[in-house]
Amino acid sequence: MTRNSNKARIHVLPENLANKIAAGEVVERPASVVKELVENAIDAEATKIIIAIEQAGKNLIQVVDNGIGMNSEDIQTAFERHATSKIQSERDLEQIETLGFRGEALPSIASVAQVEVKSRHIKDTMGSVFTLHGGKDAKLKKIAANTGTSISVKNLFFNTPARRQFLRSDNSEYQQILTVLKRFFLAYADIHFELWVNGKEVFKLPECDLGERVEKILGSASFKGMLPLNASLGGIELSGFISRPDVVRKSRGHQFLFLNGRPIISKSLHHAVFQGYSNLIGPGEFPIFCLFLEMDPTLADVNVHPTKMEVRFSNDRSLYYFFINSIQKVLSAEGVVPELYAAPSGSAVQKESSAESRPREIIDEMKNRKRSMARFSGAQLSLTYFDTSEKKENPLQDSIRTEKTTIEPPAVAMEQYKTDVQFWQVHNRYILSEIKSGIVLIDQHVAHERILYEKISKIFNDGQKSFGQKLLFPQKINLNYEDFAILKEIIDVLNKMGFSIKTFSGTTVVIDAMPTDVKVGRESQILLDIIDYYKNEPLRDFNHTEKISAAYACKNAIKSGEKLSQVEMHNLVDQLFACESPFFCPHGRPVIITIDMEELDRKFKRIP
Amino acid sequence: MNFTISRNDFYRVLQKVINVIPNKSTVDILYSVLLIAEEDQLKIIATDLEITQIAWASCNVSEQGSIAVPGKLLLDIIREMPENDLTFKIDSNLKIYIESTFGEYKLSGQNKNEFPSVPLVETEHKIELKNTVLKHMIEKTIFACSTDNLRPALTGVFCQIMEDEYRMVATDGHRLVKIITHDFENKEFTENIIIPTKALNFVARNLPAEGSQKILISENHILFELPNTKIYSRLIKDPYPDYERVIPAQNSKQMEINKEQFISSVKRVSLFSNPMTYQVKLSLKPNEINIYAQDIDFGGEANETIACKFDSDPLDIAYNANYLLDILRHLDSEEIKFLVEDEDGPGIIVPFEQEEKEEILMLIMPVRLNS
Repeated sequence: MTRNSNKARIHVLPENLANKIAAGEVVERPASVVKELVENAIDAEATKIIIAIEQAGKNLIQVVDNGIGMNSEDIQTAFERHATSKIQSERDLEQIETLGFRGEALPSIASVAQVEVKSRHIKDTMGSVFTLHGGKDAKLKKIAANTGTSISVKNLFFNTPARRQFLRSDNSEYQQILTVLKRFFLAYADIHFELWVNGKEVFKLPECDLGERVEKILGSASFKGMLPLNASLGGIELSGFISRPDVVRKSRGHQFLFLNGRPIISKSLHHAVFQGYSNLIGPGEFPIFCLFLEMDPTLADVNVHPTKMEVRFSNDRSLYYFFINSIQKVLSAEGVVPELYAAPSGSAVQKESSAESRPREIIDEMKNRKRSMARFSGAQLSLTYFDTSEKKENPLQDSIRTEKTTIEPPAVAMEQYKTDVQFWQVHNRYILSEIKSGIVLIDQHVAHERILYEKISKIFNDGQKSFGQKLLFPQKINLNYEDFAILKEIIDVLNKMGFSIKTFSGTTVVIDAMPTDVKVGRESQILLDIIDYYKNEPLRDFNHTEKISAAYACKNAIKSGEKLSQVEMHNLVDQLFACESPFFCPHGRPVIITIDMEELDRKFKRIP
Repeated sequence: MNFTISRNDFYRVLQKVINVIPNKSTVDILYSVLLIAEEDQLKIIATDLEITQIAWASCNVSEQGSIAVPGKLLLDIIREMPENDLTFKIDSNLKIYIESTFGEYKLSGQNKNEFPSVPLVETEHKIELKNTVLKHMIEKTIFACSTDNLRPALTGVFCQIMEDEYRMVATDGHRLVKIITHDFENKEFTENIIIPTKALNFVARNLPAEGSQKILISENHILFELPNTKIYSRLIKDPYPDYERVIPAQNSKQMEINKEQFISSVKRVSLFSNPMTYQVKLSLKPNEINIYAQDIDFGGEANETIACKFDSDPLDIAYNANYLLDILRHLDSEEIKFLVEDEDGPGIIVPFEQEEKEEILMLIMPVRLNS
């Protein structure tokens, strides 16, 4: 090529080539074709949509709807670039209420496949069939057809071998299609959907209400762990279902978010949901959710990318916090406990009824217990060296003792809890106790961790004061440079917790006070432990303060393997059930496991 | 080995040493006691490697020898034996035969060579203390020791042997006790040692009420020579913190109060404090003290005011009630003095009048309010 050639070098691309290029954006893979076609069907006000797939869409994708249909002229124009029925003017673009609008999909698809469209407009008597072969050789014939449109896309990418070659395996492409379809299934519970794969019916979803649809899509096992959510804020409505923190998946595959019926992906809102669970779920775990956001379309821009999955919100921040709040509200109202499912899902039906109101019950039961224990056992301050012989001199304790024997406890309910609250320590690691419905097991380390974590949170969030036990001998520690750098990052937060740490010349630090709940005998190691923990533990989605709080809670908590006295166990359990969310530790590990009597009975074959 | 001994003597001797046996150990032999029969005497030795105790009783030895026997098992056996003479024999297979008036019993022992040897305490350094004084000082100090194994020095009691006084100091970094007796004389040497708490516990338990005992101190060990028993203990060799420096010489504010009233008030109020921190607040006002506790989690709250003698500016200080009660309960006098400077510094508690030839001082660190 010569540089000074006189021939004009810049020219408009032929339309067909332009469409092929556009296809690169819109039609990435069979799943995107399915998406575009189903969107069109929905926009055509169909109430029944049947999707047929062959060989994961590589051979055939067919979408049949009973919508308003097209007349013969419409069919032809539909395949021209930027042809659409969905918007008329620029103003419409700001309030898009249909799924498609760019007018790119059909020509793009047609340019890389063999397309046949059969359609009859609702007002016409005759239908038409229109075929295109790689965007060329257009043929139009009049035929008899049902109202609505049937469009089939054959041999996708037949004329772009490179594209075709880069398609994944059938299975993986099929999964992609399924993901796309599930979003529609969920978003349009009022539309009857059918999915046929290689001639076999896979989904048949008659129109129903949202709950039923969600249950069908997620499976009834997961659905049992879902909690309904309804919230609104200044014209924004949020509804749907979120999973209990113990019903989680290892991938994001079960997270669905819809904006005005349109499936969307919004990094910030997904993150908000995650934040709503805060530390109730562990690393690598993802909640299941299916949320519908309804809001004024002018506040959201869906025209960010041709696939229309990404959305920009004009009120991004307030939405973010609205999401977090709504989710936290639902979760805290529920107070969820993980259960020990000893039996396989066969017994799930029975369990459902008893499990529903359980978590709250356990908290209440434990709290009631606390009250009776504190009053009647005199809450002995057992920590160290208490001389038991002196107890008799304490007038209050004496009066308690007499009260206990002579005065009847006021309520019957109290009586039930009061008697014989026993705790057993299992392998110096778990605390075992009896509750009305069975037995409860508590992990002593994570329980204490939770308690400490909440205490610290109160200091930072509710402005509660922290206390530091002053040390008689300020402890001097020489840190290495790395640790010292980390300490510098976290020193302010630590000092707010009740530590009093000062840095000196070099890498020397001096501690002259510690939070009051640092256990006696564990003072000297705790700072180093916190630094190590902070350094090594990947606590994603924790902010700076939370991370330090978690480090402190973990390192200051009773270790597993530590022997606890009865009183210590009582205290621990009391404190635990005074927590806001006693069931999970800051990292999302469960603290409490319950085993039903029913479960035990079944194990012992008392009941079938 | 072959000896005959009265059941009661045996039982008494064994009981003396039995508590030295560790509850948990990786060295199995430590669960055993070593029986040594020699020269009309039965010696029983128990050790946990830190502390070794030897006790003895006279008996009728017809053949000398020694063997290690599981200690707790032996105690259980002897307890059930009739109150008559028992005869012990061993054979070459380390089987022990016990004969009582009712019959014969057999159990297995272990070779005496497997049992750790008793530390050698060769020293010129000897002191002598009155039993009453020693016991008193041990009782006043060991409660304040630390359990933090990472600071070994604080897990023992610091003893300072001076020319005309003997001091014991204990602290865990939150509170401190210093007790000095002047009823002491030792012109030969001065020395500072740290004795493990557990050893002092055994000593206190075995001290007779009357008389005085010899204490031998070598480089690494201390030996208490008590009637019919000897207690050896390893010394803690870590440096003890400079405690004198942290005791303020002059605290300007002084409160005088009746100890029993103060204790019962603090006890009552502390029942309402947070059971993890046991924090109580003392508000010192002219001639009265207000004691307050709150448990935010459970909504408990308590407030008491009692009379005291105080004429400085009002002051609020918070303490861990457990530490405070521990200290108060270990003071003997009816009236006590409480000396403070500000809400951040150490509080000093002393008896209103010191006992004769004795000085005792207790110190407690406050809980600081972070704002």
